[in-house]
Amino acid sequence: MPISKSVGARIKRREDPRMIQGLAHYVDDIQLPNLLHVAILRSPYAHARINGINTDAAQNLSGVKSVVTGDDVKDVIGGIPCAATDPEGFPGIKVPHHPVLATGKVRFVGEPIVAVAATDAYIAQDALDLIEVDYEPLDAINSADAAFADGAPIIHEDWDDNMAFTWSIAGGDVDAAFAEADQVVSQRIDHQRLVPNPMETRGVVAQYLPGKDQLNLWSSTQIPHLLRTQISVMLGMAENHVRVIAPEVGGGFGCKLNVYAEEALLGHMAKYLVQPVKWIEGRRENFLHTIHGRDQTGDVELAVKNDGTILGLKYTVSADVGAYYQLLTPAIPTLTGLMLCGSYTFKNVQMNLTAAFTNKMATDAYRGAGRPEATYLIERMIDVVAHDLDLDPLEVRRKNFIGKDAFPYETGTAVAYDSGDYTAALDKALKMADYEALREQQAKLREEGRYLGIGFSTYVEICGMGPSAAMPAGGWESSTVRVDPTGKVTVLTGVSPHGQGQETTFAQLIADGLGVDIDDIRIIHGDTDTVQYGIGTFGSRATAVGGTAMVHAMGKVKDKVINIAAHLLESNPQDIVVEDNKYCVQGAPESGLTLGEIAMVAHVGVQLPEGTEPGLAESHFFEPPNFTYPFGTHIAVVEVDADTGEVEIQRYIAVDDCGNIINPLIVEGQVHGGIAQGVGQALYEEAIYDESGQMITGSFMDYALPKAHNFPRFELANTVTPSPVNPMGVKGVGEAGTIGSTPAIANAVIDALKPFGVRHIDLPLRPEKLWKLMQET
Amino acid sequence: MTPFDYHAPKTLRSAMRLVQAFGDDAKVLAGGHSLIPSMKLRLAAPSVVIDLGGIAGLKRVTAGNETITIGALATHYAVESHRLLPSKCSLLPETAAEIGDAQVRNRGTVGGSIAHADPAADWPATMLALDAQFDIGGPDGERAVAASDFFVDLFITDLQPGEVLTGIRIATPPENSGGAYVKMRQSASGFALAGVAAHVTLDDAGNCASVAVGVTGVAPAAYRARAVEDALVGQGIDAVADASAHAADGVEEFQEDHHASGDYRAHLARVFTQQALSQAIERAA
Amino acid sequence: MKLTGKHTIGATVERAFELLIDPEVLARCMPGCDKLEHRADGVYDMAVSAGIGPVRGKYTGSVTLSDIQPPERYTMVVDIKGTTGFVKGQGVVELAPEGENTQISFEGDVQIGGPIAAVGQRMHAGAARLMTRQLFGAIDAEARASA
Repeated sequence: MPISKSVGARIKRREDPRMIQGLAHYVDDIQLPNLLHVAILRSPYAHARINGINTDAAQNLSGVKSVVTGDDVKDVIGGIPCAATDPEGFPGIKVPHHPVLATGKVRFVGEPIVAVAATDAYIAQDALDLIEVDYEPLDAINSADAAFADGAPIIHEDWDDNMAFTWSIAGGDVDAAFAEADQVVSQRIDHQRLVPNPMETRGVVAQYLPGKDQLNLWSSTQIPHLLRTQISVMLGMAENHVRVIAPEVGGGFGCKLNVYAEEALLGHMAKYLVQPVKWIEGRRENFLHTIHGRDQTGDVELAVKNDGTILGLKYTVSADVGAYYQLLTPAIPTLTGLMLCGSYTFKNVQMNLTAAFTNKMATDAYRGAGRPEATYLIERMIDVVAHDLDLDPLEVRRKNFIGKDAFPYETGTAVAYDSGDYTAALDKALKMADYEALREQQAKLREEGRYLGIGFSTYVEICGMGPSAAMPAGGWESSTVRVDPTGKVTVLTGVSPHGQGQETTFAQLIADGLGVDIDDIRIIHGDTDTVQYGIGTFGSRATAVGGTAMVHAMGKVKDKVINIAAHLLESNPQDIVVEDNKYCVQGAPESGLTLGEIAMVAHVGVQLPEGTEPGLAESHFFEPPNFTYPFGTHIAVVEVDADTGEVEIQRYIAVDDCGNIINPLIVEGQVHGGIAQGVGQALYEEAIYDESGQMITGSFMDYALPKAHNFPRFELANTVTPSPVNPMGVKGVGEAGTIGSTPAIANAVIDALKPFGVRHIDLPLRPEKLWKLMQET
Repeated sequence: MTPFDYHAPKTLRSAMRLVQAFGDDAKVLAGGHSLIPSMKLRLAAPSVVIDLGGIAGLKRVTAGNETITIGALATHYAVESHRLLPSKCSLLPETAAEIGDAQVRNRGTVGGSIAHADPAADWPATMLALDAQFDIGGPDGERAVAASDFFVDLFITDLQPGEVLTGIRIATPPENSGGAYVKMRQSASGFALAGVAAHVTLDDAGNCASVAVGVTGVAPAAYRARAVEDALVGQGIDAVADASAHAADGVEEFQEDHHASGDYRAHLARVFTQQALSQAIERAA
Repeated sequence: MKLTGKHTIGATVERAFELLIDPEVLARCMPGCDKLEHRADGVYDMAVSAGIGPVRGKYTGSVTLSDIQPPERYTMVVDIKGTTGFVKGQGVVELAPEGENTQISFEGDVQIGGPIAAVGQRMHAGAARLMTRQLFGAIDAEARASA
């Protein structure tokens, strides 16, 4: 699409003024008459039998309206859903019932057991202290290895082991590749468990209107429509009597792409009590009972030629998925499988995954969702290959890159990369970094006993999720574009932005497309009674899929507008052009009509061309033919303090190719945040459960998020390789930073420690770990 | 919530009376950066909270030619931003700047931090290195305790029931003095994984006439690294490396958790002692 | 979490052992102990107000002394819970003569759960060691006072 005045411009986010002035309305800002506050008693044990629950004292506390246990709701609220349980895809999958409140047994610390509704939040909390639960503690499992050990306690007693499911993918001829190899390069690689930590925790307000038999549910969610469907099933209500609203949502990073116990529970309580209820998740609850990310450990083997050519890859991995499935738990590691070939030409590939139930919170989609694991392992392994073969890691990358003429390119895992030019991004990043000078500086500093490291990540990832055939719950997206009689434009989009800035970027597309001022455009999302069914925001899909749906709907509106304009101007539609926001006959701008003038005619309905319907609103449901595949090169320059092992990031260069760019400011913002989050995984973050299944990193005192002072000024640039998958040529950029940065930092730190013979270190790269390695040699 | 009685005395005298009257049932509130989070998390539920925040005069920081005084309720920021301290005793603002973030420094108090005696807090190291005197009010009148006698064990100080820390006095360092504080932040909390404050006064020959080193984050309580001081006194910068090797001598029990082992903290204590001493001597010269 | 340590008690092994398993002495010496009552063979009901820094809570539960082999060793199990979480510790306490005194060494496991587990982990080891130090220190003081 040609870049005109709005698209491509650095326009400040239209969402921001209300947010920075405190005028935005999040779930906790919703006040309703007679609102009750809900607090939830959660298991302090990782694994225990519940032999009894005594709620008498809590029930008798003044101000307490209702105390709900698992036994109270087990027959009226269905299980928490999982959308990826097909045994054909996941051989041997066990699908345990996942109750909203535990009965009989608890299986992780933080599992909900009792809900209390009271007249204020303090009383509800006080009531929890009065509930007596008779626990019989059982041995706990805190890792996949422990889950598979002989004599391990069984978490779900319907089965006789803790194997959750298996999954595999294979392409090409792996055996032949390994037979042909000069060497096999192997490494065990861990992807530690992470906590998504959006700034706003989860929260739910539910209200039941008995006269209409209607349930209104406000939730801090990324998927209001999918949530509506699931809630109606769980509560046994007609879906058209359930309205879900995602108000302002303060970040999600995937953890709100889910259906949680509290959403159904609050819905039930509002209906049962005929009184509105609110629950706002505390940060401690968020650590324990909002999904986690990653947690795979596997052995990677690469079949290589001595010149660095990669022939094939085998990945045997176990995933610790926690005690139950959430919405997409089993699907996440499959995305790792799809992207194992990275930016490289080898097609012989095999991944065998075994997933284990453990006494932890479920894993699910966290920014990148499966792809960071793939990118980290292949980008890390490229450096291990370079190490073992004594080659420059850049040389290994270049030797194996998919060439720019090979697109569309089908990988060994049968995904079709849409477009790319990996060398161009790499060359641009190298030039920005002044790579030769960096290597010289590194050599000089090493002589002084200082350890500089340069790390690369030449990633490719999947965005624009995605074709419905490849998704567990639909991958299309919807939009309605309507023009009011006065010419104001309203867009209803099925995506549910929560920080991505689509109220700005979508308006930019409309402003240019319809010839209307950006201030006259409103983007509405997140209310299922207002917006046609949609899928939501995740997987870097909102613009690539949701934006495309909108552009198509806008196209239909524009066709109609042009038809009306041609009729009014007594011309032919093909002669109508838009100049200075006026629809005019080419060469005669002075007689042009504004969108408002034409919209008024459309609504008055008397001057319309023969056969034209009145009104001016069109919808479109867009099914993407493929995913999109953004890519890029990230270069990290770090120094490791020889005395302490502390890592300082000195420079960070990122050249990302997300196709055409609608708003560079927003793209940079996404890349900044993404890099920070990926660096968090590389250097700081780790969710640790001890042997008894207690989460010992359950607050910001112990769970380390990256902070502004940890970073230098990022040096960013782009290459632009438009995607052929959608008419805008966009690819998506929500997760690229996270996916690209983790391996760049890891590779840089390990490069810094090359003089110590270091070949691989598992994340996070804490100073003590590095210091010890420097002492060992 | 667990109800509690809240008292906001206007004078130190009435604060003392309240503290003595309620004894163990009461918690004293200064900047509220340890007590309030604990109460919000329901990990502490004192039946009485005595808020010192309304007492005038406890917030003052003065830097005279002989004595520097810090009221117990002075905020970290008040020390960080004091006009005269950079020239009179730069170690104080340097330490203050290492604490938490701007919001914490604007609310948290020096006295609160000292009385709380978190084993990884920054102030104890610097107070030890500056040989600070803590003024304490109690049922038997006032007394003063040297920092080196104050930090007893994990969250345990020399403060007795009914006593309140009222202020801090530090002898203004003479010419030819210098100090430095070096720490590694625990990556989540920002507390010190290990932190070392060093303060030296040089003689005419450029050797250390006096040396004091305070170490935090390493042991259950912050401590003076006496073995380092003994090895360095009378010596110059050349002796710093050897002396610093003794920074964790005598520590019987190290702080340890998933962020850092005891061995590593001991190592950091030695590294940071060397760095802090070298900087301190440089600044003194 | 592993917990090990050594302490010296200023008494003979026999006397030290007597003190260590005497519920009245334990009630006096255990930090924050509000109640210690014999329930059954070697099992005592206990209530303590314990804490570290500003974090304080009331806990109830039991102390069990078992495998008592005077004057050399016994096993102690502490199992208490309160609204801030639970603590379960078990360990073997061994006594050996050290001149005229007795050296106590213990080795055990401590499990901490609930709210205090999630937010206070950096203090767990220190707090557990502080409390054992306080316990054995107080018993030592009793021994020396009664010597």
